[in-house]
Amino acid sequence: MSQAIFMQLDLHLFLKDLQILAPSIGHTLFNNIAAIAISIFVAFFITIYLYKYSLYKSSFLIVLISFPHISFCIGVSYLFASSGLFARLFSLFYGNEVPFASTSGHYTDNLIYIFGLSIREVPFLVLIGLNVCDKIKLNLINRQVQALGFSELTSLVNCVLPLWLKSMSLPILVVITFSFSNIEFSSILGPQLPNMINVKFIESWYSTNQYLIRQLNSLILITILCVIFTTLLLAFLRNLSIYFLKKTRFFIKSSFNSNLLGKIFYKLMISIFILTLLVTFLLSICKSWFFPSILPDTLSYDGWKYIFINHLPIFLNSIFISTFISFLSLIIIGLVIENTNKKKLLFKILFILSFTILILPQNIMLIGINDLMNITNIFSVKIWFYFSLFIYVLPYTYFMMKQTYDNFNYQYIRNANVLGTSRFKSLFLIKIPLISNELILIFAVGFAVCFYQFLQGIIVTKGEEILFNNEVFILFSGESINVASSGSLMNLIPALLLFLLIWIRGHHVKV
Amino acid sequence: MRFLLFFIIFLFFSNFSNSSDVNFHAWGGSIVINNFISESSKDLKKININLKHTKVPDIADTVKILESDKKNNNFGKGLIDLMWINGENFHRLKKKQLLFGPINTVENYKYINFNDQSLHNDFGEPVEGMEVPWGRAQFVIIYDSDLIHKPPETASELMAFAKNNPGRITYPQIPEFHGTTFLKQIIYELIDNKSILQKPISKCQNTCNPLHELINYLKELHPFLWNEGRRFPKSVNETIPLLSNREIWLTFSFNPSVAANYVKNGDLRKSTRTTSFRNGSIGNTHYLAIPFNSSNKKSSLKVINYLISPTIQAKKANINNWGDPTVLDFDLMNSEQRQMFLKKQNIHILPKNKIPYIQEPHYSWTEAIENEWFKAFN
Amino acid sequence: MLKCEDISIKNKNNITLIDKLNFFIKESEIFTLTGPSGVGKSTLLKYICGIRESNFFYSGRILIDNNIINEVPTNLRRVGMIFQNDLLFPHMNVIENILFATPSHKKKNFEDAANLLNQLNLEYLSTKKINTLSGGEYSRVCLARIMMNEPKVLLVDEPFSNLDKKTKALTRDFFYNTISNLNCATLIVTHDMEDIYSYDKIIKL
Repeated sequence: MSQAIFMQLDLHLFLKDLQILAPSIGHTLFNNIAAIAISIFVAFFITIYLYKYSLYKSSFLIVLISFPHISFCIGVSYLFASSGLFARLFSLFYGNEVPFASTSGHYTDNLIYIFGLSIREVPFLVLIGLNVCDKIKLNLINRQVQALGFSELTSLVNCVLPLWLKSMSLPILVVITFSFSNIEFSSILGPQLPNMINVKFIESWYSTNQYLIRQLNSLILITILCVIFTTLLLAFLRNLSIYFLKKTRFFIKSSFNSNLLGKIFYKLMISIFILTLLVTFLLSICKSWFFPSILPDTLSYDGWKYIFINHLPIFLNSIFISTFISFLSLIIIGLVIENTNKKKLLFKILFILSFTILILPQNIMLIGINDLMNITNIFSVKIWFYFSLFIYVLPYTYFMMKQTYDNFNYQYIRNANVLGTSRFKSLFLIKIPLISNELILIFAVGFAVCFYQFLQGIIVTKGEEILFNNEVFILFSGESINVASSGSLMNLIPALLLFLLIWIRGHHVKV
Repeated sequence: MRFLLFFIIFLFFSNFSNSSDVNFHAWGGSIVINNFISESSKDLKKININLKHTKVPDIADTVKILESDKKNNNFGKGLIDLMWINGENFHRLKKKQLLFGPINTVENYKYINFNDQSLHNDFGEPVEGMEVPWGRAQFVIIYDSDLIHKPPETASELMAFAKNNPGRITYPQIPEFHGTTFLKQIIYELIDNKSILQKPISKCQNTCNPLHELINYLKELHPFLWNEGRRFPKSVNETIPLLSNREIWLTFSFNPSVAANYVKNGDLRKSTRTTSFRNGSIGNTHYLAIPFNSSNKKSSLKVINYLISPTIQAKKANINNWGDPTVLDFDLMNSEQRQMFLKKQNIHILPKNKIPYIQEPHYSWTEAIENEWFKAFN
Repeated sequence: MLKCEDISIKNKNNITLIDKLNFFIKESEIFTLTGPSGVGKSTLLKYICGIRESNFFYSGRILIDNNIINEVPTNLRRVGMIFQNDLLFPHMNVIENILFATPSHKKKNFEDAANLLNQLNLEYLSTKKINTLSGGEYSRVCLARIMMNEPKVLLVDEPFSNLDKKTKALTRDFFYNTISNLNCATLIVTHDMEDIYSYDKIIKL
């Protein structure tokens, strides 16, 4: 149906849609830009705090990024619902037996969406931000500025922040495109009537209503325009603030402790993650937990039992698929990087491909794949499904693998060669053992990325082939909260275990 | 690379379905129903049939798959063998000749009453054997009797209730079918000439009054809904946790006995009761059908025969399983079979025959109502 | 024995670093190559052992035992080299590092390695982990590892540059004693005049 995009775009109809969708676009832009700005701000302070004090703590962030979006959304919704945990705590003091009627409409939804999305993106930005700190030699800058007699905050605001922001362009771009194509946050936490365009997109995709089907063309264009607009706006704001800082050079002599802010943000973030986990866990083991009880009324393992009986095959299947795809992309990327140097065409194509996949909104990309599937009509849906999962694992494997190879000291290989070892042998005896920690991490990230893909099952296969992650989303709109929570927890177990293992091994690995 | 190639070839071949596999596309939004189907599939294994339940969020997606199958000339090797449908989806499939049939030749069809028009007319569309009745539904109100002593049972009582208790009712977002049915029920309540709903919407020219009255009613109601009518649950299931936590005080369902099951599972409080619109509430029948390109029609017919057998229908009607009323006629069964359907009284459910059934409006009204709603509120 | 004929090295800007260098090192002979930094000493050594850097242009012939080895890959040249920043493999212990070059972990090889360590008075290190070695020990294990491989030509690039003064003197003596007993052609690169005093012949660049 979306082949129509390639045929024509009726400007008149587009403008009409733009007018109809204006409130949706307003919501979407406001929510996403606010969430991104907040997450960058928070991430900066947490990064500085973590970098200054102890690097090893940052590896716990790896455990946090393994937390699936959908389970996080579900957890946040349990916290903030008008009969959720916070409302119950409030009723403890106020004494209301019945939750207050929720009459606040969009505004709370917008706030909760911004809260959820910004908190969820912070670990990702911090993890990359820490490596950027390494690269820009943050400690050196700080020492030099302080040697000149200025406070640490002066150095952070005037020198570190501009450099840091510049180096963070790609991850921020990834966050931007994610926020305009995600369906988990916008559908579970976002405002409705009007829905955000992310949700409208999926509605149109599934609709049998001719009007909505046609609207998809406009929505694709609007999504692209929104991403471009947000990128330009944020870039403009960044350059403006850098220009402003250069011109005015305000020097802060006060002893305001910027690390305190980072510490508070960090602790707050960790507690939100733990709280969502805790509430979800309690809900999964309760039979009933009616408002206003703070703790479950009756306990039962029915939710887990239901998940095990009904969803174990798809759960195991998802683990198998993710393992296979992550491994496959590791092997393919490894072969390419091992056999080409940076000047070769294949390497450049891979770079451009990975970059494009990361910065193109996922929903649009997947519609393209679905079109390709329908037009070519070769291979089964299963293979297209695997392919669409694979291309989203590829960029992560590629960039991490490239980083690993860049950091690898080739003197080891030269030494091995001089000792009479062939290239092939030295690959297995020297290189792979030496980068094994990184390889495990790359595999784990690939696994988690694949296991938590969501839109493939919705757009490419239209529900014919899905991952366990999709199943959790369906369960969430079901009647039983304990089943939904059990599913949501089960969803985070494999990646959590994998990353906890990496964390316990205690190797700080660069991402 | 050889390994990769091998794997791809393996996947390619593993995709062809086994001969006794029956791929059943059915709405997967209810745990109770999913459980019933998975238990049935265990039973069917005994007669060498592997019933695979594909849980679709909306059966309209399956209709779309079949349409594109026909467009791509995919005859005889379709992936869908059996589907659970009714209403406008059936109409669409029948009109485009995407169904296999007639399939009323299965053995247990003899228990179905030929004269019961509610079984042979699906949303105003004659069934003509292209689908087989599986169960019945009636639109009901589920409420919390601790909070509501006298539940609203007409459209005007509902409006008064909403105004007295702002934020305590809601309905699933259109086009979810419970939501649409709620709107149809309201139309029935609002207009005098109810027979116009049985005719195609095209007969209701220009300023079509029923729709106009509906939108006016909703515009008055929405400010008093949950979240001021700015947010709706995506499905009727999503309202169950809201009802249990008393965020909302009543909700709707298509199954007169579902509340008993929810109470038993701890999803709803013991004070939950069921009633309906006292002047009559919309009832319909849901059906089983086989797509034109099913690769395993023989086994699909066996599955249909199994699902409408008295034993399974009785099991389905039991509130401990699904609680879906049977489509079989008691007069056509022997006393032993009838005995299976007798059940104990349950305070949570709507007693049989307490509220009169009214027929679903003609299928063409569904899209018209949805479009009006989108125009007014989306 | 190592023979180099008409070796020239140019850099990317076409500036000649080494112009038609000829020399000949017999077995158990030690040559020292010296000169200011940036003149191409290390590049020459790497070229001899088969490592070409992409921003240099090379010409000339290298012969070992009268066979031209220009096109032979590094691992088959039987040229041992101790790099300036020589690295032991951190995932193996000392004895495993030394055994690395041997074709298989046969018992005989293991005995040979133990004998070698004995000979060099390093036996107390054999099961130690690499990251626990001191600077001097590190250099000595590097030398032992290359000796285990029995190269026909030994190339050494600034062997003591990373060591402090005291360790340097000790290690230098150890090196000299060990190398002079070896039966291979040895070429040592250094820019430190202190290091040169006892070596056989000097090539100045």
